[in-house]
Amino acid sequence: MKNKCFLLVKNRLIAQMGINEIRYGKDKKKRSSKLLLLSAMVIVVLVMAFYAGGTAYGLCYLGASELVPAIGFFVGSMIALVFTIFKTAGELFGYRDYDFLMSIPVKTSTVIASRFINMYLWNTFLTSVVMLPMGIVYAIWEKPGWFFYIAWLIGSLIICFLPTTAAVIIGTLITAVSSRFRRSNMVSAILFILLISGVLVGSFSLPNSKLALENGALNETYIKAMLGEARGIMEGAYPPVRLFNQAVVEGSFGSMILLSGISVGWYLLFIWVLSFGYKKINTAVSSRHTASNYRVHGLKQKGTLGALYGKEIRRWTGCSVYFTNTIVGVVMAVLASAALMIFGPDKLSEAMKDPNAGTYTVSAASYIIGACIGMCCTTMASISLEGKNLWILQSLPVTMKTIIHSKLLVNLSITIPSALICSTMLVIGLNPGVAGALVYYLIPLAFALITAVWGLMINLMLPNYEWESETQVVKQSVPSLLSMIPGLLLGILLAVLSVIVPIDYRVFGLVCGVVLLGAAWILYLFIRKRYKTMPIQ
Amino acid sequence: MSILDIKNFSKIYKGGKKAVDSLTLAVEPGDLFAFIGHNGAGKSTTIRAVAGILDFEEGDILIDGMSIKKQPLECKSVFAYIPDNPDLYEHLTGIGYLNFIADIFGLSSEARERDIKKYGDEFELTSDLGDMISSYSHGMKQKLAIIGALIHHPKLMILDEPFVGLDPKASVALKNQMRRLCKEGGAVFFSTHVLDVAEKLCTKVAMIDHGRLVAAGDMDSVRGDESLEELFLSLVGSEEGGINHEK
Repeated sequence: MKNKCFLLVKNRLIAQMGINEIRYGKDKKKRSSKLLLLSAMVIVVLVMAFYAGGTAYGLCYLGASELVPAIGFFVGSMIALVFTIFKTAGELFGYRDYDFLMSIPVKTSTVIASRFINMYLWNTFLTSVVMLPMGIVYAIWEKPGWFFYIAWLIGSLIICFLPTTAAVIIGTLITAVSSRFRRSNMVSAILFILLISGVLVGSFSLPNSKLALENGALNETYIKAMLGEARGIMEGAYPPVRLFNQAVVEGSFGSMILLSGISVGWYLLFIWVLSFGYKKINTAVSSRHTASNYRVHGLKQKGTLGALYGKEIRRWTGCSVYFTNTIVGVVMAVLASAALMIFGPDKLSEAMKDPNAGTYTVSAASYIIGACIGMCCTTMASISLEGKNLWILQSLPVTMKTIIHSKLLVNLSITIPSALICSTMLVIGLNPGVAGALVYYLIPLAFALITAVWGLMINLMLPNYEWESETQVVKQSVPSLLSMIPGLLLGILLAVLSVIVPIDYRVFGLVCGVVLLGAAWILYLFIRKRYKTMPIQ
Repeated sequence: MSILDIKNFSKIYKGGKKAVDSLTLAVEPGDLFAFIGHNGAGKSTTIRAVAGILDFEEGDILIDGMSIKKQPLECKSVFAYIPDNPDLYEHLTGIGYLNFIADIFGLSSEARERDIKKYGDEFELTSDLGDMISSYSHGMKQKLAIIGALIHHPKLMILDEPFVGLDPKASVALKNQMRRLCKEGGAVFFSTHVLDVAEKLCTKVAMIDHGRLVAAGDMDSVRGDESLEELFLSLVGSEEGGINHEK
């Protein structure tokens, strides 16, 4: 049983990482693409580790080193939770080789165990990217006793048990509910969005800071008090943080035992219970809603662009991971704009206990909204997602120009109305005057345009039609990294510059907006000139 | 004028492998043309190039007198193509896919409703058209792809292994539609491994072995006194292949 489980885990890991393609693949382009993806992943991991270590160093430097374990454990747990929720549907249930695995002489419990071990290995790897550097910095700074090292090691190994099972339960419930509907992917995506919105809105209701800046000064005492409050919030939101903190900071053996017992016990219990209903859940997930009572009626004629646009919209809404991954930015933008509209600059200064907060917000708000809208890039996967259906577009009488326009239009249909709604809320809430309002509309719209064109260009350059799961191209591809992160970073950078550059924010905004629109137009012309047919992988 | 004219077509894949070597053949209006060969002989490569999916370096392919290289859109308006594995848009319903195809070919509302109903009933798929394609079996997808190909009334149908996965009734319906198209002045060019079907259905045949044409012409003259199966085994059974029996 152990050998079979090991074999299943090994095969799955090899498939996920594309190791065989790199080692034995004859297609140089595919190999390069896999290597590029792996390299990009390594860079992201290194940046995350550096950032985690930097945060730990900053906390230690400010004299708040006792917060490092709490933050490390909390952030690590959240990473495991988020990554697992989106993976449950394709990793644990309804995966492509389910039929094959169930037909070979391997116990169901072995299959489940192999899938869980796979999820455990990935989640432990991801959480260790945060836990390891933070632990090292803490150990160097605090020079704790031997028990710290044991407690930290055990904590790092068990951290993902609770969030993984919680995420699997949520993911399973969503999958189970959505599989009852004809457009199950759409229902699943909407449920995920409701969940994310609920978490975001719920986070607004966390207790407000009771602290006030002394004479507006951001001193060590204030920061320590603020971080202490943050720890309280984390411990309140996720009690295992308290146990871990007691174990590593206070050296509490009992807390360590309790945390380990709860995590491992709950995990094993969950797998055991799940093994009873595994086939039933999988059957429900893989079953499709069928009515078989259709009668031909009411068919309307559309133009070629309309037909391609409709197909693209259904592609977007019909794939839950594509939909949720791209809509999150828009949801964040709308919620942030609504919050700014409700609170306004004065209340914001009051709430943040900083008289300048309102002024900074007036200058930077449109870029932050732009950055959020820039995260909604459907074009970055729209070429790759043609996948095995590519032959349809290749053999139909449609021009590349129409295909490009349909993919851009889908992205803009989501981002432009959202940008207009967000800008209107900002104008109402922050009251920036006519010139300011112009900038408030210009910047999010410019971000919407450049994001769509940039994403499409990246995907045309790096298409991948041979994916096994949509998650590969939507979340784990080079285009997805290259299209979403630069827009986010650019928005943050421009937001900071708008505050610190000694130029009127309206003039700065106008210049930025025009430059972004110009860049979008140049990229569009490049795409039109370069791509006359769908690119071949 | 030939409806499909393949002239000295060659396809060389990366790494130097010549999948098809100077293939020349013509499909005339009214031809029901079978294209046969063993696995990896170059049938799908040829068909994909004819359909404008695969780029090629040598030779030319003319459809209704137009080059697929120089006038791809005009050519694609003339033919319908169905691959060996009909991967359709799984996020659409069956009717959504057919409506999409009808929009691309500019069919009026009345025409599409009439033809979707007609072919849907013939292939016994009408009642399932409201369901998502992801819920379809392989055979249902194949039927949907065939209906999608028929509703825009192509002059030429290019089919790669069209009978795989079809139930007997649907196979008969497809054969009838192929015959009808040829009778009305169109043509069908399709690959198959089912030599029996090719022998009984087709008016013309071409055999390809290791990328080279080994026999082509009217079914009766190519076959002679042998069955198609015997001829196939004698021509492409050897490793060398490449003997030209074009008539």
